[in-house]
Amino acid sequence: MSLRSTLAQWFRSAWPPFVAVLLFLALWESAVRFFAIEAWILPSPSIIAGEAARSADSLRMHTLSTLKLTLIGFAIGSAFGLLVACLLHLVPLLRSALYPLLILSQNVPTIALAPLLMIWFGFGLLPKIIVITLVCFFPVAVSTMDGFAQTDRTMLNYMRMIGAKRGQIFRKLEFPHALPSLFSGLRIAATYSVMGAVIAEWIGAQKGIGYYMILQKSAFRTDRIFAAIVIIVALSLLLFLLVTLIERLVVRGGRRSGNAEGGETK
Amino acid sequence: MSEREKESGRAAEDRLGGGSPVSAASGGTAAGLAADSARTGAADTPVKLALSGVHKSFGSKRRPLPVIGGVSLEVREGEFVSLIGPSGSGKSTLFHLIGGLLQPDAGEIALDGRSIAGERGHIAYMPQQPALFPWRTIEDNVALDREVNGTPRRETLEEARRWMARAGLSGFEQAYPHTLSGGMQQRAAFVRALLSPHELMCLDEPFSALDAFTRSEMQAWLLDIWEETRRSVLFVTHHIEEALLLSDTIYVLSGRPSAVLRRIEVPFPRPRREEIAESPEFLALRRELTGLMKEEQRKSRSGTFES
Repeated sequence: MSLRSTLAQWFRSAWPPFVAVLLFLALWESAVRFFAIEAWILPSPSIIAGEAARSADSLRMHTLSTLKLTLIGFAIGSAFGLLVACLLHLVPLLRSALYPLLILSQNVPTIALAPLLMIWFGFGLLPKIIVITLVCFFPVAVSTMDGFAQTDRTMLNYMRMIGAKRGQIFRKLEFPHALPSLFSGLRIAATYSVMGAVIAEWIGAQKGIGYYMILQKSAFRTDRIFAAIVIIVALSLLLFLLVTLIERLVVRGGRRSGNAEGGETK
Repeated sequence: MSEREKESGRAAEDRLGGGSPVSAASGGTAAGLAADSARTGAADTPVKLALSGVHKSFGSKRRPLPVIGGVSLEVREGEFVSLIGPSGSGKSTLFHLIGGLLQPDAGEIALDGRSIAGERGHIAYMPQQPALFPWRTIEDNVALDREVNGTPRRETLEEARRWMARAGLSGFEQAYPHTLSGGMQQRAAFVRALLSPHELMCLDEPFSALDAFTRSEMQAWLLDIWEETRRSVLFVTHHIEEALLLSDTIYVLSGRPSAVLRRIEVPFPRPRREEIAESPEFLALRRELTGLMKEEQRKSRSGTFES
């Protein structure tokens, strides 16, 4: 599929929700004006936009800080998840010992560990990165392991029959086969990492969008909180699209996780 | 016949896939030579693969389920040997034994006179499903066997492209497998096996997933390519006409636990054309084999009812 037709297709599927959002904003705007709702309860979209423009400088500073934190945490967490997935896959004994524990450990809400991490590691970057790492780790590790486990039996059989060694089977078959699964894990981790960063900043930070929200909450600046929420959504979306773009470049042969099997038969 | 002997000896050394530029030329001579020799007994050519008294059971020690019950067969150098048998006669198990994925419980598997039981990496293989890797282009897929055997992809590409042209895959070098038809995918899988540095090719019902028309096209194509390259081939099928058309020798397997029921030498001269399928000799052989298979299928079915 060419870039151009991709864009055309994207445009076709994008305009109906876009119009829906516009209608929703118009409804919101007129409802706030009609019922004369006070701005500290529900500001109108125009007030939010105006305020966002006025405090653009401080918002930019906080956004960049959160973005940096998110990207570092996302990179470390995903790398760690991928590493653990490979290790557990290649060492069956390790997998049978640790995989159930890995699943169980997900019942511990990572966010709830944040205060503890603050006590142990202070209010710097480290405890926040640990929170995001923990949040990203799981989806990446589990979906990658899933991908390994679902390796096509006929291809595996073929590789064995021609005498491929364990390492060759992993490098040439299992790993490339698991790439779409890895990317669906990464997509989930991308959205989680923004959430993790914001929550970590709520608990203790000197800058960042999460910190900004807490600050505006105590001042009842609902308009600024809304602006922050819009930024958080945009950040999540940005990371999500980034992962999708990388997948398009890396995964070949018409088998991306987005458009599953047989989506591109010509 | 002494010249034939020499020829096949040399062909074994620089067989196709050996990576030497001579291979194509010697392949040509072999085909020319083969045209005048009717290859009746071929008892003078050395044995490539020999199975003797191979047994294999699955299941527990206390209740073993015998699948292979003493199979002995031979593939001579440059010979096309087919295995036919009723479904469930353990043909795939036999391949897994030859490929070294399984150890035989008893018996011997020898390649060039050396035991290879339980050892992997001695054969070229073409599975029932093409099993092309969807993230590799066709030419990268075709080079995979060589790559696994230690030849860098780049060194294979030129030869790979030449054979792809012979397989009607020109223009699809950079295509991904999902854009190809089933027949083209199978041809790519065959070229991949053909490029293997291992002389013996094991083909496991390679055409069974294709429609009848594509299948007969593929048979004619395979016949053509094989008569040119003269690799040693072990071909599993349950298609009697296919076996008669392609093979020098046919082994008929019984139902489970499988053993060799009959060994048939196919008398038709090479190069063969599809027209032989209309000769009375062919029809007689086909009738005989069909009867044998029907009988075996019936027996194995009643056998399952008993147990």
